[in-house]
Amino acid sequence: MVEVAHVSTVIQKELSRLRRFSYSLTGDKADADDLVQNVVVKLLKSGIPDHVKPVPWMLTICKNLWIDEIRSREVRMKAANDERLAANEEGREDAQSHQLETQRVLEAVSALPDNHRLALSLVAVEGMSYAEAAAILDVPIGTIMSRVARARTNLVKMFSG
Amino acid sequence: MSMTTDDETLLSAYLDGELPAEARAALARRLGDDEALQRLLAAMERNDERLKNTFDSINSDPLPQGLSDLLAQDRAADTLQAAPVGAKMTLLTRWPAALAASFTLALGVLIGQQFAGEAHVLEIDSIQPSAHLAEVLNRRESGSIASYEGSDIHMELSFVRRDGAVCRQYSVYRGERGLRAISCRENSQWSNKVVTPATLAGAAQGSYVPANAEESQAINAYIAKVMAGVPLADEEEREILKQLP
Repeated sequence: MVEVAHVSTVIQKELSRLRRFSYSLTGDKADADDLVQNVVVKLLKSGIPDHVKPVPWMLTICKNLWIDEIRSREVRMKAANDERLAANEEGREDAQSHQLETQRVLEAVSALPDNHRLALSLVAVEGMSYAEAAAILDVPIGTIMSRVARARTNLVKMFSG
Repeated sequence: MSMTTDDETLLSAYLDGELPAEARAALARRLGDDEALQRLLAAMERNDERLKNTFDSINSDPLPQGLSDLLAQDRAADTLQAAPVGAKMTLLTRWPAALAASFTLALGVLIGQQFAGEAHVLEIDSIQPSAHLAEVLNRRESGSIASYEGSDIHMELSFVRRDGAVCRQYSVYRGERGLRAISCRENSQWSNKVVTPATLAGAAQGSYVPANAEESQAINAYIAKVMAGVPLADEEEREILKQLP
């Protein structure tokens, strides 16, 4: 098991990645930071096993916590999107444009099946290899290839519609 | 030309650099003269960028206070863990005797009778808190304040030691001055492990700080040395307190 001091260093170094990945799962920034906090607490408590790569391990914990805790509490993207729509009405034009883009992306991503969204986040957003994503999601590499492709194809259809 | 699922999978894998060299070269040749393929690849690439930009925007927002505190706390613990072990407890003997005399008599009743005779503060093997303080340690959640015969007992945090013992950090004040201590549950009773002087500051605002950074460091050093993981969350603490007699 990796010492707590080292775990802390890994967290500091990869915090941006962890926040981004969490946001891609939850679709809401506040929920994402709650999720990150839970991941950090768990990592500091449990450490990182010596035989694993720290980043995939961190993302695996994040994914598991999201599935176990956040989703079970039914904190879903739709509610977050509804809030954003309300906020847009008061925003400035450029801010509105940015928020509308954010909203479109979040809505499109939330419409993907969970497994496709996870695979796409790991590969397209986090730049993980298919092998790394397969290890995190515990599925064959071919499944990752297929899920990422389907997710991308669906997004193309949604954004062009 | 209509797109097949195979084409979409090939393009996606091409984008990710996951195609074997031969397949990559073959697709690159097709891309050269198939505009539909080119458009789909460009759209996939553009969407990847949109996703990255959208999700990366969270890093422009400040960290929430709770998360920031958690990381700052851990950085402090790292620094202390890296400090030379032999040096950290000597500062405790520098607590002025006059200061010690005024509080050990007043607060020794709560902190522990044996402590009342000490002229300085030190890391201790075992000093038993009074029965009343033990009751507070068993019952009161962190963040609460209990009063007893003119002294206020501030419960500050709880944690589990690496050997599994439950420990609690608390301060006892009479007026603005007092003692901060860590007591751990060993052999079914509480034992004070570290006691340092502390000064209550900004009492009107309800905030308090140790008398100086060195004293705070002594408490932090003990925690860094023995604590497993991080301090207990509210729910974890409540569960543990329920199990105490």
